[in-house]
Amino acid sequence: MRPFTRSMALLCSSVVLAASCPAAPIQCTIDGSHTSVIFGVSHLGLSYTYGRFNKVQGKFAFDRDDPANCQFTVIIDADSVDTNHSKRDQHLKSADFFNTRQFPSIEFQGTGVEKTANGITLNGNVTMHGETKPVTIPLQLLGEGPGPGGDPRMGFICKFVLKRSDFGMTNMVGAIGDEVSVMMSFEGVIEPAQ
Amino acid sequence: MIDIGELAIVVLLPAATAAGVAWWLRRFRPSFAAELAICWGWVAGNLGLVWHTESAAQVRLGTDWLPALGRGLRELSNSVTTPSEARGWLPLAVALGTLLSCLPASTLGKQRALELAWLGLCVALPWRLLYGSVYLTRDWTHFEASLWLAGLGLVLWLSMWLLPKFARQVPRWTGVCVMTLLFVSLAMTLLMSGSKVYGILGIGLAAGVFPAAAVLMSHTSPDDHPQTLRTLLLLFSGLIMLGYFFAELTAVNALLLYVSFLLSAVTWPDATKTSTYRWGYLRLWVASGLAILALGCAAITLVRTMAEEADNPYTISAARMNLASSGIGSITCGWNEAIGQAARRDRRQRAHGLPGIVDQQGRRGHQCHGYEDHRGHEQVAGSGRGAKGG
Repeated sequence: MRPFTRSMALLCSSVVLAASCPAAPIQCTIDGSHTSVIFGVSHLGLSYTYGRFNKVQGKFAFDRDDPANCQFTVIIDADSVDTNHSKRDQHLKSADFFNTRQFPSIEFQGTGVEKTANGITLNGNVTMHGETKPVTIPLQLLGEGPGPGGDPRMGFICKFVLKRSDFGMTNMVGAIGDEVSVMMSFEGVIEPAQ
Repeated sequence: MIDIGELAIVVLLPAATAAGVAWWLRRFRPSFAAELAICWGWVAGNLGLVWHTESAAQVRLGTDWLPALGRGLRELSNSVTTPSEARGWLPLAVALGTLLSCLPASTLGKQRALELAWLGLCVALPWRLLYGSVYLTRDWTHFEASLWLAGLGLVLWLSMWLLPKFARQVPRWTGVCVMTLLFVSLAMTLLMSGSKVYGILGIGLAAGVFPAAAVLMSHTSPDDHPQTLRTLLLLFSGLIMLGYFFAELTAVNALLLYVSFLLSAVTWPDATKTSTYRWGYLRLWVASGLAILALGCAAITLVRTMAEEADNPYTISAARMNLASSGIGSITCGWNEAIGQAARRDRRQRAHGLPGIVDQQGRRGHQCHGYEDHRGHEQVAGSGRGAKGG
């Protein structure tokens, strides 16, 4: 076989192979500087105090066609909690609440994804304060496009509620609400296909 | 904020248990009666607190009393069998310590075997308390970790050699009063050092001293066997380690409290009878002074931090709130006024060639995007533009 014919044959076979294989999920690395994890908790039933975690990292794989291929992992640095009051932050980091020196991270590990009318529902386990509990999080794809440097990105938002007592944080339940509403919006930088 | 139920449990349960154990041991007059009574009182208070906290939380969340108490019992059983937090291991260490205190040397064959068992417990305590924490997993190298753990264990074991007996040179009630003062100081210092839970554990320790001493002293004479204090030292050191490594207890305050404990308990065997009496009082005075000094340092730090927080322009102070409610201004006005003042001050300083507020006090960096705040975090909220420039 002459070189040109061999090359053409190789090209054709690659195209046929690519067409027959399902598309691989998009692999993304979470951009911490464009990711926000905000939480709100009731104070004496009078108001809500809001805070955020300043350091978040993680990875996810997203497949529009096959939710079974989706995979999400998010790791939050519990020590980066910030409620705009250093004494309160210190208390939140102490053994009374997050105990960040013993349990330095809050982790979400996805176990499955389902498609719904409004978006997708993410099932997974949240590990916080040394306890792991299953959660279901409705996830909405906000958009997809190039970032400031031209790198392709995609972003999501989700809102859900956790009960801190489920994670062994029962200190001051009553004065400080048990239900903690969490809003997380994250942006992932799409990794080039291998 | 300690609720009344927690306070009742953490004071009454240790006091009643300590008195009960002391009453049970009064006829045998063993050398470990005092520390056994106080330590078991503390363990009972600690377990009662776990049960109460979980049950009360469940009741507040709308669960009926009986299921809530059941849930509390389950949590209590979990905390004993599989402690998840460092503080959960302290009652187990204390129980083991009291067991070693109770064992006569002949049980383990030789006195040396008993000492080795104590050494093992002294090294195991800091290791178990720090196991899985950021110190052993991230912050320290293997060498640093080994150094810390061996050092802490060794200091604890050597300290045990210093206090084989209760001091006899001073009236016994004076010693009890100083020890109570010391434990109360520990509790209050821990409370002011960022952890309510550890402070409550300290209160539980202080609560058992007087009842145990009252029962024991009414049934013993000064000629009885001197009392051992090793488990009490183990418990005291464990609380200091928890406060230092998992709360904000400073190294200075930790050292002051530790030395204070040693001074209040150690004997001075070489002194003559007259000077012994005088020295006995002197060291108790010094021990009390050091404990109060630690308490004062913690209080000053707390007040200073709170004052700095009040200076935060985003915090609406009580005075400003009063102004707002009295009709002079509104909360919004107070908020805007504070921000306006900060901005005016900033402009004035810049006009005089001085660095602005943000440059001078990193804490105010909240006003600017892309600056680092006082804790070194990158400010990314607000406009949504991060440090990378969005």
